[in-house]
Amino acid sequence: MKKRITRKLAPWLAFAVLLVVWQAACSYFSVSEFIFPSPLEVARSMVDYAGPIAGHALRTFWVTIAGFAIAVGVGVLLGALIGSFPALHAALYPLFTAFNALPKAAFVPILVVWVGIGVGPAILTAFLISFFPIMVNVATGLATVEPELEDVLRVLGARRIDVLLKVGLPRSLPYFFASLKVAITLAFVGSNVSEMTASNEGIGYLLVSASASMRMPLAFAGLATIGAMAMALYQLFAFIEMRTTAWAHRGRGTH
Amino acid sequence: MMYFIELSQFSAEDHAITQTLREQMGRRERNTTHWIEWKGDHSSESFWPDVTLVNAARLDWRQLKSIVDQCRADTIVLAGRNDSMLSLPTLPHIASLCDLLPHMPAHGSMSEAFVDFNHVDLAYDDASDFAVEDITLQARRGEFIAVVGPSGCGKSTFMKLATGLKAPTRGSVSVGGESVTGPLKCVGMAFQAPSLLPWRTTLDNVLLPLEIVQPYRANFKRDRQQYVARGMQLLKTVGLDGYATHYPWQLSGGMQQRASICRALIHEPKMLLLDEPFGALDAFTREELWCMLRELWAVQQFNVILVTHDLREAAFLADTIYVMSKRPGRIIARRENPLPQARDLEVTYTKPFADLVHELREHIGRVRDS
Repeated sequence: MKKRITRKLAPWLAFAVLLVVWQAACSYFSVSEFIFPSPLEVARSMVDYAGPIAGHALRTFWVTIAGFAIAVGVGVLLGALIGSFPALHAALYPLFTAFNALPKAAFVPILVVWVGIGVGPAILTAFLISFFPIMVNVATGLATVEPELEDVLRVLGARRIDVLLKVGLPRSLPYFFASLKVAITLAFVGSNVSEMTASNEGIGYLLVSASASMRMPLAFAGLATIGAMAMALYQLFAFIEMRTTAWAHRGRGTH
Repeated sequence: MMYFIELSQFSAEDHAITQTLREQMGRRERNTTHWIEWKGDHSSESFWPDVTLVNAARLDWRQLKSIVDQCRADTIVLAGRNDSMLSLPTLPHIASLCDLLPHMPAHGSMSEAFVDFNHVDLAYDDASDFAVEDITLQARRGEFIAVVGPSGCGKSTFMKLATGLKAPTRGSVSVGGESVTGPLKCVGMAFQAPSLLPWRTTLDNVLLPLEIVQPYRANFKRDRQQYVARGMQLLKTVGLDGYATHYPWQLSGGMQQRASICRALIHEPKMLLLDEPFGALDAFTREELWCMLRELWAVQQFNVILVTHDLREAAFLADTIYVMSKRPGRIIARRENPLPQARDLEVTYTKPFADLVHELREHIGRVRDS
């Protein structure tokens, strides 16, 4: 019992230690707040600008979620297609890998031309950057289903779609959730990159405008907010994963 | 020829009526050739039955007439309450199905094989040599056959041919008089690994075939409770009714294998294929499961094809034993089991049994050394 509590508190303790060391270093070396603000200065900035930060944070949040949701839909669909049909796998996989290698920051101007400034590029960039891990994981999950499990259904004369829905997709859920955790962080990256260059709202915009007016503590406050949001969603997915795929994690000493 | 059986309890449940009639029939003789088909409110497969039973409880005369016209059997028995028969011309009454059967002529399908392999060869796509060669065997309806042979002789390939998962390169396979061109729905299969889906409870695993196979699939939502009852009944026969809501990884290997066999039987198949199902279990569990399988087979009288490397298992369970050679697998010997059916474990310690196993061993020995 004690061990479990210690384990849960550990990251918070580590974070607290980090803050203490950071604050101590800043105070001792009298680091200027333009270069590297101390935690106290960042906190003060958060309090002073609470309203705007909250507004921008909300905007970034729902834009990211929207892009992420599209990424999940498209990722699962493409993953299912690629994982089920080896011909499609051979044909499309290299193309997608090449596409993924392109820096999405370079896409933002193109997206601005297509859909205008603001929400559009942010959602689309978040989507483009985060669908790939989901697609890859779902495809891998499907391609690695044990043939014995599939045979159980095939012997009854099940159609391909039955095998996919009853065996393939449930079997791939652990892989899917793993990819969600990666994809959500990427989605935040995508939406921020877009907001930095092509938006009037959102944390990305806040970062750029704070740097431009030399308010570094505010910029750091923005970063901290993004980090907090991404962490919160990550934990949410980890929680859902534990609930829905307990069958896959039974070797971990939880019984 | 039509007859009428009156059931004392009114029951609209097809299942209950079947149960009552089954109890009436009692334990069927091993060599019985008469096949009974149940025609309730749903359509069912017909393998040229001798007797068709119709649940007349909820039907009016017009419906009855259309069912009767569709029946291919020579003998039709209507089961229900007396009221439902009032609009029909007077029918002879019988007290139970047992009264009927001895008077029926032996059906022509007795000489027809239920399972028929005819000079079957199979080569896997890239290989130039055959995995199995010139397999010819027939099995009567309700017969229990075992195929034994050394490892790698093509036993699993033989199974794939029987289920329709692979088509023969040469020759033909037919089950129930119809040629096998793809997976069959009147067949249940259990593999060496139980292969239960770990995200479903044991009961949901057992019900899985009913979600795939027609006509159960179409009626799944409507008849779900019936199916659950059927599943629980099967689990009870194998002693797993307390574990219905457990997950597969909470069960031992023997229990998982029992659940796997229940899953293979839930859709009431005409044939059960077992691919070394007890290979991974310890000796005591294995003997327990032999008896369980024998009981299930005795009641439901489906065909069984058991592929095994255990000669005692084959000698204990099967009516006919085939011995396969090394790759390319050929049938090199066929032995009818001389021991009378309804064997219990004691028979495994008698001399006739030991002689049979010895004889099979010699066949295998010759194969392995060749």
